[in-house]
Amino acid sequence: MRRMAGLWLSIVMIFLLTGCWDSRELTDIGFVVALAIDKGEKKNIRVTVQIVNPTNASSTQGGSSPTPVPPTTYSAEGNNVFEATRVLSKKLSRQLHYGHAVVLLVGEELAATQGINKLFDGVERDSEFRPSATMVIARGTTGEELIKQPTSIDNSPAIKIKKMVSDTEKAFGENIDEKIYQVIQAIVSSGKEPTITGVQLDPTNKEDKIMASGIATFKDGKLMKWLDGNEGRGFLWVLGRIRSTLLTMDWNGQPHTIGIENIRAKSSIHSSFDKTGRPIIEVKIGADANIGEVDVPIDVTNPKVFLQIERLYTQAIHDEALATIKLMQQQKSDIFGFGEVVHRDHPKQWRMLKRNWNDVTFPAIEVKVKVEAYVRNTGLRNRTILESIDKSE
Amino acid sequence: MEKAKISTRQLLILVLIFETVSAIISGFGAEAKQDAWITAIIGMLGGICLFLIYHRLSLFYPDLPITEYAKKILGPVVGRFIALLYVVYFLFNGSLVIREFASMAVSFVFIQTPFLVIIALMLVAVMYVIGKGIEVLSRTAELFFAVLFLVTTTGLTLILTSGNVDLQNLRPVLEEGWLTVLKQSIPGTVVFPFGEVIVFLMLFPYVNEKRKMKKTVITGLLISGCFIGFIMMVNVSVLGVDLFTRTQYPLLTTSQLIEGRAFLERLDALFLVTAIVGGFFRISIYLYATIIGTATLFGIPSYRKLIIPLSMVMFICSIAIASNYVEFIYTGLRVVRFYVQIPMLFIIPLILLLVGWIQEKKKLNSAH
Repeated sequence: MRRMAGLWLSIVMIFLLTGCWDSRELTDIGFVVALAIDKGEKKNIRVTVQIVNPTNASSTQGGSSPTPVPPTTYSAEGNNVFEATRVLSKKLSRQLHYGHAVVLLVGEELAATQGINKLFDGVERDSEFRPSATMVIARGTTGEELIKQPTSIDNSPAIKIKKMVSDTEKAFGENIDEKIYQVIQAIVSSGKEPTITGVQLDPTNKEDKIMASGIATFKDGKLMKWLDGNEGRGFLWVLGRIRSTLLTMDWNGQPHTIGIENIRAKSSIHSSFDKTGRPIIEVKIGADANIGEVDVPIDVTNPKVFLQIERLYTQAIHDEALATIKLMQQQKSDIFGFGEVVHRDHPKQWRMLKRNWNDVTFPAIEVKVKVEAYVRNTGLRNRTILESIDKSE
Repeated sequence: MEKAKISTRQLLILVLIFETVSAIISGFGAEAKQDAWITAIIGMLGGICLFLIYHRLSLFYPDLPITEYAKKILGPVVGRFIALLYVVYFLFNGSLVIREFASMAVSFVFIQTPFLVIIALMLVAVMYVIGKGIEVLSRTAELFFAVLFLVTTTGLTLILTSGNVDLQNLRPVLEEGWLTVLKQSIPGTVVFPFGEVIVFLMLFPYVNEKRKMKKTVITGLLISGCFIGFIMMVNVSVLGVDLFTRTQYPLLTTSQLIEGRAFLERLDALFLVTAIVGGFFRISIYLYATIIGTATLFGIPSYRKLIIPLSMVMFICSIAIASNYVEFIYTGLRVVRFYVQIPMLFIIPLILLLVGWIQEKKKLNSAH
């Protein structure tokens, strides 16, 4: 009797204990890898999702180079982000899963007109979407347009954008790899404004058009100014986020003749107050570099020449950083987080300063930039070939 | 009461799991912002003070649980009433814990699954282990502690090496001053989770080496306090103050941000499993205390008969406690903290201690 009961119980339990109430089969799920939010035509928001095409994603085997296939994307419009993503289900045979979304793109028009502040709540509240996805602004185009581009090396634009943004920050330092949660942190903080990297369409490359371009700066949640080239790098110097980059400098009036390859950099920011109670910000940047290229006939093994190069390099970093700071002071947007620094160093005074920080205090503060930069190595050659050419002539 | 013995090591492990699990998954000390870790330390110190009261109390009758000696100290009528209060308190707290873990599972992974199913499945496992007795429960805890320890250290190593940690987020320390932090800690973090160690008064009679008991539990409280404080520091330094205060499960969000070591990403599922395993012991201890309390209160010889009915009560309680998450947080944190925890954790034990003391003095005097 007992045995029978036990048997029955175990049979019943087989069905009860499978733990599959929320089960979704792989073939029923559409994995979203990129989410683009743009300004809608009829309604407020236009959302585009890029979905992994499983057959395409796994077809890298077998010798032949993959031909660029346009990725699968779907768009829908709605009054807010969450609504638009649900409208999408009208066009899909699969349930969307956002757990693997790696990129969130926002169209430039939307960012400039409506601002980005209202886009995040639905994304953040969702239990699937990851706050560690990379955030990108589609510069001069829409996010939809960008994720519809075919790519040649990577399987999808989403993967390409994610890798490209992270690599170019490390290799060149003119873009910034900011995750969603970091952008949100900056939006919320009263002492820091968000910055997001830009991605645009490269008209010169036909196969693979996606290209990183500039850093978008914001004020009150709205896109305001793009930092390009050295401006962007100046920003990253201040943050100490430069990993590797190349500075070309002039030598004795000959322009762009010495290339210095930066290896690492760090920065620390401190605040103090002057006698009248105005905050002073001190940015200390430390950097290490190697000599990358010398296009003038000089002997870099000569200590005097070497020190001269080091001085030029120090000056170059100082100028770049200060130029960006000045520029942003004119724009009245504290993207460096100087306000945060004051908040941390002097919480009491911050309470007074916080209200008018961006508009009144930040544009007027004195910022001192101190650079300690060292050139460490000369590379594999000590003298340049140009010197040998000069001698033989 | 059953005839069972648990070692001091098992007691230590039970205390560690019991104290830390709920605190590290929920938004512990979020009101204190970047100073959450300080409230953990203050809470721990307060918890140790409370424990000293409980321990002195247990010395009157080392072989009985609190529901028994309340009768001996305060007389049968008042004592029974106090014992009943404690039984209800354990039952209620246990229901809160079940609800907490179930709502975590529902809001994070099992979005379509009804509450009932998750709670029922959790309770079935708990009922089984309680049916096996406290010895099995403690040995299971010993076994799982190794697993929890391994997972936690791996997870923490990954978080700390992920490059997301920015210690600047912890500054400014004590922005709002000591007073605000103290207000958040007393009674806030003192009662949850540290004061809840009172439930171990039901388990003390089983401990084999009574002399080491005090040292063991205090060690457990110290370790868990420091650990909770450390986790809160990690949370704040990764998430920043704003996200830390806005997220429901800070550690979950923190572990979601682990990235870069490509093969060890997306650890949140692991986090959930760890939390549920820890929650299992927390629920078991509360349910066990409820059952033993009821058995001693009504003089029922075999506590096993009570497992099914009391689990049912706990099941219904955990559902009826609140109709939605907001209500649950409001009851669980705001109401319970002041109107239930303070009298149960502080006032009644203190009264018991004072009355017990006077009785002891009288006995000593009359013996002379």
